[in-house]
Amino acid sequence: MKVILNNLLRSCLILVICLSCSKEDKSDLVVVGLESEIQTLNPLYTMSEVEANISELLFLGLVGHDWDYEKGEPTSFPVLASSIVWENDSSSVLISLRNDVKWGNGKDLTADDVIFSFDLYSDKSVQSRFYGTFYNYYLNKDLSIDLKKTFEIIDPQKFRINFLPHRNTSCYDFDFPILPKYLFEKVHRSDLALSDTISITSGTGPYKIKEWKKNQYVKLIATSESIYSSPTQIKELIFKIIPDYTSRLYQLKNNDIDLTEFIKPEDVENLASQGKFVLKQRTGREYDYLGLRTNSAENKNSAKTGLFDSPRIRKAISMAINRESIVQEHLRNKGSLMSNPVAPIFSSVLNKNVNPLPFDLNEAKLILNSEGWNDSNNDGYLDKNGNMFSFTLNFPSGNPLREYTAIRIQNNLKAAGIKVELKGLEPTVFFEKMFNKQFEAWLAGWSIPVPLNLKPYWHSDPKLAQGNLSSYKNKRVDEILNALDLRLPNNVRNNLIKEFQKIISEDQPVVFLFWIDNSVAINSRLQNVKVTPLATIQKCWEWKIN
Amino acid sequence: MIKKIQIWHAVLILYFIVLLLRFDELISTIELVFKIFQLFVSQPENISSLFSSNVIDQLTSFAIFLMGIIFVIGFRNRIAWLRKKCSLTLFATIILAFIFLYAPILAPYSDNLQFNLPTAKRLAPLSGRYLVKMIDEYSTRSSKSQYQKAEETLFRENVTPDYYLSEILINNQNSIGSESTKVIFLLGTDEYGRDILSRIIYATRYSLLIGIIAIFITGLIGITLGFISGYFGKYADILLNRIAEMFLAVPFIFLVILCVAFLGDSLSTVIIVLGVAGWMSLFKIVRSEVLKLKTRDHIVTSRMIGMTLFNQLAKEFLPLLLPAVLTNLTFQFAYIIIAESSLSFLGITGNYSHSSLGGMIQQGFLNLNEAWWIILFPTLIITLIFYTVYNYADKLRNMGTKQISFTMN
Amino acid sequence: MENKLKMKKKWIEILSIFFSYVLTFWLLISMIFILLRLSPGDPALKYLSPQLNSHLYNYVKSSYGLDKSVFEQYYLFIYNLFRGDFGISYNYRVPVSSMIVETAPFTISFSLVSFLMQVAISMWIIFYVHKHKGNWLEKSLNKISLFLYSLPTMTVGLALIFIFSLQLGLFPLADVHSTNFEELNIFQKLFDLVKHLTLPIITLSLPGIIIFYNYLHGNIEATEKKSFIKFMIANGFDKNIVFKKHVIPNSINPLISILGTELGILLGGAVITETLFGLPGLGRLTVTAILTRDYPLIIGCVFFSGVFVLAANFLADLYKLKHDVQLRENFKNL
Repeated sequence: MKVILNNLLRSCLILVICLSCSKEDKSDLVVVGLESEIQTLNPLYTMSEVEANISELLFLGLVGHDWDYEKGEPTSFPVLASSIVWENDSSSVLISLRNDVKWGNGKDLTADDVIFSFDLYSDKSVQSRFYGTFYNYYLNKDLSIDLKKTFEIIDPQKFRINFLPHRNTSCYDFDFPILPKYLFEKVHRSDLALSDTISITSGTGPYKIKEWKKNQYVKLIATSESIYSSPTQIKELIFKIIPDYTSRLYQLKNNDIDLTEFIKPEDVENLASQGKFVLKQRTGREYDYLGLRTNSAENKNSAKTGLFDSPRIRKAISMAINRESIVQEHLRNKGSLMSNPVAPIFSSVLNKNVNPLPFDLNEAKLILNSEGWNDSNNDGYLDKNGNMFSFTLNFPSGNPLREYTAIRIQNNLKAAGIKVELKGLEPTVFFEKMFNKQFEAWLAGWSIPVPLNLKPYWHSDPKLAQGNLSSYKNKRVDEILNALDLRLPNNVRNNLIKEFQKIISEDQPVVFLFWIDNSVAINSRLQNVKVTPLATIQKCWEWKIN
Repeated sequence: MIKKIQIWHAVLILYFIVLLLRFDELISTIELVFKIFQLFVSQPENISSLFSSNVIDQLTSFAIFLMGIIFVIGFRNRIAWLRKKCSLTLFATIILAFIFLYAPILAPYSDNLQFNLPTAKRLAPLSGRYLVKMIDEYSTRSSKSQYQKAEETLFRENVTPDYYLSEILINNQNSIGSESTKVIFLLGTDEYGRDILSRIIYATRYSLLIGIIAIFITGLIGITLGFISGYFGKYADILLNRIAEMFLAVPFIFLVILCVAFLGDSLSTVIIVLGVAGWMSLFKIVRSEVLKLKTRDHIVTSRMIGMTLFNQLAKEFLPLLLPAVLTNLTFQFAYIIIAESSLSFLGITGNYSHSSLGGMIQQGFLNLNEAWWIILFPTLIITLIFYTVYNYADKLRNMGTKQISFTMN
Repeated sequence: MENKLKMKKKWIEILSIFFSYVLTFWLLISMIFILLRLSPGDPALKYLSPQLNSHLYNYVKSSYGLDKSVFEQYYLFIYNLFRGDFGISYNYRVPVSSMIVETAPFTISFSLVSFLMQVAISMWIIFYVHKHKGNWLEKSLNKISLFLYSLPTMTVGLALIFIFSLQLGLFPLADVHSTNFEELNIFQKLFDLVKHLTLPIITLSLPGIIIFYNYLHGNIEATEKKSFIKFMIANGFDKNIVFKKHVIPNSINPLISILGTELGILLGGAVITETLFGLPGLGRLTVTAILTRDYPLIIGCVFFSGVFVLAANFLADLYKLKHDVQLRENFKNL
């Protein structure tokens, strides 16, 4: 017995020693907690926003962006370019490169690299994420950029880009990380996706990859050669993948991580009151909506009940859902009601006369009655020609907000006499079916691209608008969206967007629920973090540790 | 004193507690029965439309409830089992059986009933609130029949403007026309304002139901294939053995996740997958037993006199296999329930039409800071289920042969 | 001459067992392949987005080889498997084999440590209990072992996290090691690992400890009743030596036969543990792969865990073949 006690005491002592001895020194290290896995950092293939943001720390682009809060639009500033001179009609641009940018092999950045990068991004065999999105460029048949027509090299540091005439061009047309030609040309283009070139090289960015463990973390260290390198720059950045929210939160409180996004609204107040954290909001670029199958006649995949073909029905459903209570109770006002898909942050184009539909159960019932839906058999549910007003609402499982919203919608609509059955589907299955337009009603969300691009979501041509999942069709909306692609005076453009907002709010092609703010928690030892509608993880070289 | 308690005592005490606590519910059920009877007399042609799954559920468990009381009181002297000493395990079994059989009566609310959130969100256990019903306005506005009202008081799945929870007593019956009753949330509410007690009761019932049906499937597959393999031998034996090995090579939980992710997460799929995924160990046991038994005299005789295969299996083999099979199935039952709760914990079965214990634990983990009760009670009940099941398995194992090992799968 | 014949016979037996395992393996892989092709869900889903060109999705899909006929896919799949090529993970765009090489060492060492812990701790308890028969530990273990076994993995894990990480702050919440792992010296590294992995290993090992304890306990009691032990003790051999040299070896034999199954349980039980503690193991990788329909990665993971379990079973079979003549007779029936 004595021996055992002795042993126990000894092992306790050792344990205490080891628990105390390895204190971490974090004076030059910042850990960012990420929700989703980083699958690649190759700028050609970065699909998610976070991946793209991190890869921009490794490879700089010609331009960078900021958000102008007063005008409510993004502004651009040159990064690898030293000057950007637009032609008067915006049909071409003259770009001079900085002469102090060097690649890892000591060679200067040249126009050749830029053109090579554009060639890669638009090449069919590379399958980059930007393939086929160079709408304002002269293109070959396979949608790659016609290099001869597009680029004019004036000298190694200076070149001109010629765009298609009369297009609405901007700095976003050449906003891509520039890749080193000498490295990427060694790899066969169709093998680029698999090559690990990216992890061994240092780009033009102020950071490079030090260590990368899949499913765990990516460790970046500062480089000294970049134009953004500075002695005060944080030496090491770790992006740690913690899919579990609770774990992420506890690690934040435990000082294991310094910054993380998507804090639940109910934890925001708690964290803010601790004084150890700075909480910032990334306001409304994401919204959730209740998708309804409009134009049932056109759709082959789903059942042709035509329940939601009439805009008035969609309006009634919208009015029967108490969206405000969801914003208050679940989002704790870290979000706002919405009327249309133009986010309030785009203040210059926002139509202030379009207001969200109110919650009005009686009005909703009246509309439904006037459309022929009555509770004639007194079972509490509306019916028309002997059919009950009922539908199945599909939503992806694993998202607490959507689960909550689905249950609230079910309850709200029941009060209006509509029977809703809920069906939570595993995300992969859900999104496959959603994109194949197999649902009659579904709950999902979109994130608004910057710069504002409405065409992929609301145009009636399914080839142009992969995001128009409810098969919404409106002639005037199509006209407006087509016109927005062209070069227009600013006031005409703004008025068109305002008109679009009015129409879409009237039509309610989907039931617009609410804008969701993204709450970012930052440990107060980390300073100078700029959270804009564009991104959270940006300009990390400007971050400082207190 | 406690040691003298017999099973029928325990059952009656539980019945008494239920009667005491759920008296209102029982009265409303009787009312419902009465109204159905009335309707049956007045308009017999509409009667089938009245029986929704809720009503049938309620009535069945009410009937079993009444029969149970009569049975226990009437037969306590005739059935020796009822007079056995009530051990802790037996008591736990009786509680689980109560939850399984009488869920609709025991649960105060439907498992998905959400009260109005500002008042009902994450209430601590034993906290009391006032349930307000708008009487006058409601009855004038709605044209519902007496029957529907009776049905509604029992199966409320929805908070409507005329039925809500209030923190203070609203007691001006004349002006608003409302009626307040004090309600106590025994185990508190979760973050969606749902009563945890009701959710646990229904979740336990679903877990047990899934387990029971799934082991039925497991037993069917395991015994049949084991019998075929052991009895016929040769190629069937080789093939079946390889298939069993193949299933054993993938960890049980991987296999289940794989199948559920691919075949969908409806209740029936989950049951079937869980049932199918665990047949291997039973198969092996049955096979080896059949191999041993097959050469025995009485079996050989039964074959000689021309008994059909099915009869041989049912009359000659099964009685001898029974102890081994039962032990194995009891263990399987526990694994199936573990697997089911693990699946919902991992968020792979996101079935929202009913509550599940694993899902509640997961939800409780997310709310660990604010509300300990969300996670505690489902955990306790899961442990209780396992404890009971393992206890039985252990006893069976000790009673039967020692050959059946304490292994999983 | 006779000896040679015996050897030959033995080799044939071993080979036939080996081939039956290969057959099992082929069945397993084919089943997974069929399951994958039957399942809903689209691996190229992330290329479906309004902000991407719609052609990209089709190109990616065809580069995955999913537009070929099923038979062609199966042929290619088996052909590549023979060449040791598992294909390329759709998600990570790296060869599956390298993904597995990255995660497997952790999983193997994690389960192995857990397995050793289970054996070591249960043995320690057995010795202790044997030394002090009828003391508090044995009594309480007899009472609560079933209860401890009844605790589901997630409950144990959550309870440990809640008590030791959140309330007491003794152990870190998640991960295998600290972020500054590289800079530590060897002792600190070891401490760091111990600190991070204590809770997960307890979580994973607890049910196993109970199983082993119960199993061994029963076996030892049975062995002690055997006549040769009684004979030895009656002849005045030291009780402890008899226990260590004769009782334990004779009781532990049957444990070998459940080794394979036990490994399977460890791999499976690791899923929950890895998820709870954020560990980079095969379990989590498999679940992620399944949920995102990363077909090559799923097959790779299942392949690996299958090899792991089957190899353990194979070794156990060989062991039995060597030590148990009765079983050898049984194999002839197989």
